[in-house]
Amino acid sequence: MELLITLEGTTTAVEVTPVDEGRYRIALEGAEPIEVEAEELSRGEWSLRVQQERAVVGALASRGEVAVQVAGRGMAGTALDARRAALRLGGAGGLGDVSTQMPGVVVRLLCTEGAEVVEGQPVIVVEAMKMENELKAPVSGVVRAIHVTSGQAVESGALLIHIEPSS
Amino acid sequence: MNLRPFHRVLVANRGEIAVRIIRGCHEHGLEAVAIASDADLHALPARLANEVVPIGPAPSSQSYLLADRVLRAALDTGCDAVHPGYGFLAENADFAQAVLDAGLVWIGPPPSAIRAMGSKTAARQTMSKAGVPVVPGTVEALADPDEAMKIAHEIGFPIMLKAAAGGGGKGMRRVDRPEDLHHALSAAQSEGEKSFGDGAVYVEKLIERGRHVEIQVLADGAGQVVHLFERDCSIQRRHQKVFEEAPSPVLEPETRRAMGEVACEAARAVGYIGAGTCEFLLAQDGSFYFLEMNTRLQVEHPITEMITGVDLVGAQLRVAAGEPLGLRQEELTFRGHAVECRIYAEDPYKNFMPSPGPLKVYREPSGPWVRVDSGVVEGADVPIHYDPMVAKLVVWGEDRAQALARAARALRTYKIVGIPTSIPFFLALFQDPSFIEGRYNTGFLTPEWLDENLIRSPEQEKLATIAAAIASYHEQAKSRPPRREGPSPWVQAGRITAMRGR
Repeated sequence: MELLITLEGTTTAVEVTPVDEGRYRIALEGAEPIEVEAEELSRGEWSLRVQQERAVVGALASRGEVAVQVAGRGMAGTALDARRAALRLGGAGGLGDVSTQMPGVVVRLLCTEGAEVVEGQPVIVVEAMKMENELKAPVSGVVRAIHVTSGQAVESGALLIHIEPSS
Repeated sequence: MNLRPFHRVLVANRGEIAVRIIRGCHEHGLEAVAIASDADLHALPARLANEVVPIGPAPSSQSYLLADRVLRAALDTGCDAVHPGYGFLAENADFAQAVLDAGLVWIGPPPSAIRAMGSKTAARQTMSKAGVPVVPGTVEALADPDEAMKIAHEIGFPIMLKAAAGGGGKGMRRVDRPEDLHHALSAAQSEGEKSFGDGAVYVEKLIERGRHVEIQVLADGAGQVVHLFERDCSIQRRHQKVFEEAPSPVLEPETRRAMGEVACEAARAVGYIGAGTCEFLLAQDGSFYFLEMNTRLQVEHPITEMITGVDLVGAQLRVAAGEPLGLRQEELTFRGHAVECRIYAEDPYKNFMPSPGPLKVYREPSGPWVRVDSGVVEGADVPIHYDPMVAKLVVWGEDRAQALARAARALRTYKIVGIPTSIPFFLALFQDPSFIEGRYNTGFLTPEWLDENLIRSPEQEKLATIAAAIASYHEQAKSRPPRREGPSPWVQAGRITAMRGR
């Protein structure tokens, strides 16, 4: 099975081939496959043996979402069947997009549609966990669209403002 | 103050501190009633308490901060005492007064002491008068930006703007240049208004490379005051503590004694009762300045418990019940070294950006001299509505090196899957040579330090990808219907029907 694993914004194509009970051949990005022994010790806790090295790591997948913990570091992301993922391409994340990386509430808008902004200028304040975060314009340009209003709750990754970069 | 015995305590808080207080109550033969917002109905405090009162929707402004509703919960459930924990209503003098007026015991200092220390500007005035050294700056709230500019020029940049009602690092702004003052002032005022309902801001000179050292005090209703030595809380991000240790790795015994005496003096000056903490700024030359007094239990109180053997929540309960402290300063000592790592739902790889979400797997470490204070259970969400602290890992050792080694060992077995946490930060911190020598100050932790020290190891990332792939493969294999031997049941049923027809 070919999976597209995205962790912390980096996507890796992984081919998983079961060899035997608890043994897999894993090929990362089309590289030479390596053999991995894996045993789920308890729900979400795995013993992995990769090329003689044993490590106990956290890993749990559910409906396309996946979360891991390696050496204390927690990472969350997605795991998609490569064939299905091919249908899902496109989306936000353009050059002048201001988006939030955590769920929260819009406290204040610091710009208006049509306003000229310079790179680094704060354009919106979003609060999460009692902390106000100023999000800055990623580029200099003109504010073309404001997709939210003050007081609105926003999800992680939501597109808040689009700025058309000045040439 | 109604200092008298009580039997049933309303715990007016949530999370790990609610759990700490419930445990303390039960150990002292008292019943504990928890309050829970809609987000916390199944959290740990609700499971441990003798009774739970739903208090309202998740946002704290509609639940934990509603003084009337919290007091009503206490009265409705037959409580005869209220413990506020820290945060929320803990330093709200009006709430303390309302509890007393309702005839209940308030497990905290008198409202007059909360008021005297609650406004940082008033506290600076009181302490100056009592001869306690304070950081140069204003002792009154700023009237307008022009006044701020004038004073800033008098004492010289860099300066700190601080919310008069502030605490916990909120409503604070460092200002290095005159042109930044205007923006910083409105930001500090807005945050003060939002977090504390008070936009008053004052100015302090910024003392560079200072350490944040605080003294724990305990006082009883008969006027006895003792201190339980210091905690060093200089490792901070966004002016908020993330790691604390006791004792401080740099404090000289004479300074410790002097600071302790000043802290007791500050407590006496406001007629303090119960557990409180005086925060000091320790300058490089060994001089120190009073910053503020927190009129409540501190987040980091367990490290003091670990080195002194004094149960601080127990002491609060006993003092509130009218008992004497029974501690004499000259008999108090500390032993070994204790550290606290605050496990936050924050990503140290992204400059500690909050990372709320589900605790899909949550298993706490254990082992010798390891204590975990938490308020969460596996499967729960870290809600976006509150402080993102998940737990506190507290570890004791014979000396600092042993405490740090034990803490690192425990951190490596702390299983949290679902969200990034501050765990890798501590593992990196414990490798830093300056930190190992105890050489650090409140400016230690910067985005640059994080960039340099939180290694993105390709090996680890590869392992993470493999783990993610195998877990996902398993999940998908489980959800696929197992392949059957032979034709499908429909085909078989058809064949049987056909056979019958013969």
